[in-house]
Amino acid sequence: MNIKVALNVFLSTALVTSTTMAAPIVNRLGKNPFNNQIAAGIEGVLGKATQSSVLNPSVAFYETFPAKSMLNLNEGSHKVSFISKSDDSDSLVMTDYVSIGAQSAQGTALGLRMTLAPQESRLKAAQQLAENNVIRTGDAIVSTRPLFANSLQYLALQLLATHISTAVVVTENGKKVVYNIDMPMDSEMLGGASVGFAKSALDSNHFTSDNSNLMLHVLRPRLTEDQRSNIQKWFEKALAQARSKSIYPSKLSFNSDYNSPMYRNGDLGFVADTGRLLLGQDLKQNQHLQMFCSEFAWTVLSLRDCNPDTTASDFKKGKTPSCISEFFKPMQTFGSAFAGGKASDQDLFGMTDGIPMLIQQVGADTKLTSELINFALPGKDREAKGLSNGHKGVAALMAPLIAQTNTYFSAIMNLPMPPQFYQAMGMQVPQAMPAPAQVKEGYRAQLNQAASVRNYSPTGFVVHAGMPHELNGEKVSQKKFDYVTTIKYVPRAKLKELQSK
Amino acid sequence: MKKLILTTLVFLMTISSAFAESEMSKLQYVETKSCSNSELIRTIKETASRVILTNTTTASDQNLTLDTQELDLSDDQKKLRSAVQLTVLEEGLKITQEQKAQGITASLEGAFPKSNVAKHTKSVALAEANAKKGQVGITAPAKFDVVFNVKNASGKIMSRGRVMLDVACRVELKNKALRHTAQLIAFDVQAKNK
Repeated sequence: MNIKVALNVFLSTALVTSTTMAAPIVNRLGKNPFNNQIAAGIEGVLGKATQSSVLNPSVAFYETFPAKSMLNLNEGSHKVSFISKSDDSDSLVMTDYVSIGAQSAQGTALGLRMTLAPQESRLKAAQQLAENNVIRTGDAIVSTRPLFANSLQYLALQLLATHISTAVVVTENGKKVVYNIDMPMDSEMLGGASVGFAKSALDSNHFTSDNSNLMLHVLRPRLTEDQRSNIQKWFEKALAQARSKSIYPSKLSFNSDYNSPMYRNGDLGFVADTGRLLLGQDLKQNQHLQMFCSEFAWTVLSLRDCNPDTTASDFKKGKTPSCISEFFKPMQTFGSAFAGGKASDQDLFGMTDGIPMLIQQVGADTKLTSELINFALPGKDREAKGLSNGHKGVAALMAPLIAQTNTYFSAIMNLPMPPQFYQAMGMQVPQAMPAPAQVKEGYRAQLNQAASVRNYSPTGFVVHAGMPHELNGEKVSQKKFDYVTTIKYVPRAKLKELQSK
Repeated sequence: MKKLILTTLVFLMTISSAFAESEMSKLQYVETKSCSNSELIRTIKETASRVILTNTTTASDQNLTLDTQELDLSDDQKKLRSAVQLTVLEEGLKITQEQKAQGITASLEGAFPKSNVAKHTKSVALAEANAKKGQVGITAPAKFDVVFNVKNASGKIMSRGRVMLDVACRVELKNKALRHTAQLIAFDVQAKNK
């Protein structure tokens, strides 16, 4: 080999290497979970938006996760590659964010593991997230609206979660990239700005139109490697069907009523029919399918034990294939966790338990518990800039009723309940005292009875990720998601210091 | 207390779905008495009768926004625009504000083709049977053309137009009674010859 050929080989190799290797993530995580000094450093990036003077001013506590429930990114199949600093202005930065520090020896801090990405480089960010294992296929990507914290109380009950997309990591031209797949499969969600329809690298209008009021939680489903392999195939088929526009909305359309899921009485025929559509087959158990965003994610995850390559013939029969099973048991509104529920209970936490679930894990005393409940549900609504007038009108109508949720949370968190509370329950109690177990359980039963159908709302996914790993030393078997990180796109100029210091 | 709790929950559920709808769907979603053709046509008329607002940007769900400040209009035309507002149907049928002010209107002729109407009736029966078994019953999307006549003040037909509709009707048991909701999958108003 002469010197010229050798030089060409070297240069072409270097070029290939530079175009196929994404930069690792810059690690600004604290040595201890939630190093306050580092958290303070990103205040300037996020800006002060919400919260009272006693709480961290940028992100409401009910939009965060317990530190002890976060996924370990240092080992196994979830390992993320890090570097200590980078001169590349497109590098992503991962850092801690504290909302509330641990309040007791058994308590855990509440916060976020932030991944900060330059908003000018969405496609490159999608490649880095995929290449570095920060996002994997099947991960739920939850859209949350931080600026609506401390505004409308019903948004607090939803933990500010408004939508769920699912990640699909594919390899194109030698590079991994993450695309989002969504319900509805329309241009608002899938119209990728960089590459095209159904190739949205988290850059469709949904992800870009109100960037200042958007953060994306990444939640990882608990899957075996075989299940992960199957899910990869199903979601790639979903992307292909979305691109061909062959199933949406003619056979599968969007259901805008989040309180009316297709799931009823354990019948999973709609999951089988979704599998049929993804396989290019006809519907057999329904005339048409309608789903909301998190329902579609739950449905495809419920196909995790079906290998589409080997079970396609099972779907051609009229019955639900035996490989289909609920990814998680559709949830009640309120769970048993605050009324003596055990770690093995599949209804330990309900969809609306997020606020007390977080307060319990931080180890708050009575005073802080009361402050946090009243902070989330103060009994009155505040301006939600950018929210429509229609919503504001409904929220105003709802304000006195929300106070009842405050009462329920206060009761289950063992706060002293006034005599009027007991009077409403038909009891005579002369002074304020915590509600006995049977009163709390009766209260919960009444609420759950009113909510007649089980569901899998976006908030339900977030509650799964925020659940503790253990209860009284036993594994919480209901938990099916782990929290990975929260992505925030910020101006490149604001990231420089965190990238290079 | 129990009644208050129930009311609370109903409101919670209503509001969460309202938020989702605003966030996620541009399509009309209407609770109906049944999935019958007449009820669906009523749904169409409700959707088509929504006024296209002027001077504001609040007609965003139809992407229909008119701002008279940006148009090169005479003072008389501006006065007329503020006095007479067009509906989605009228706009689609190419009726102008001036014509509407003169008494030109759109009236329903019927739904076609009849074969699709019959197919839909069968699909409704199946969806209702599934709902009675405790499942969610959804009809196969029905494709209709709802034809409207454009008439002048004396009732003479001047032109025709149609609403092309693709609608799924959802049936489920709620408090032991069947609840019907119609969701438009596609909706397009076209004047004749368009």
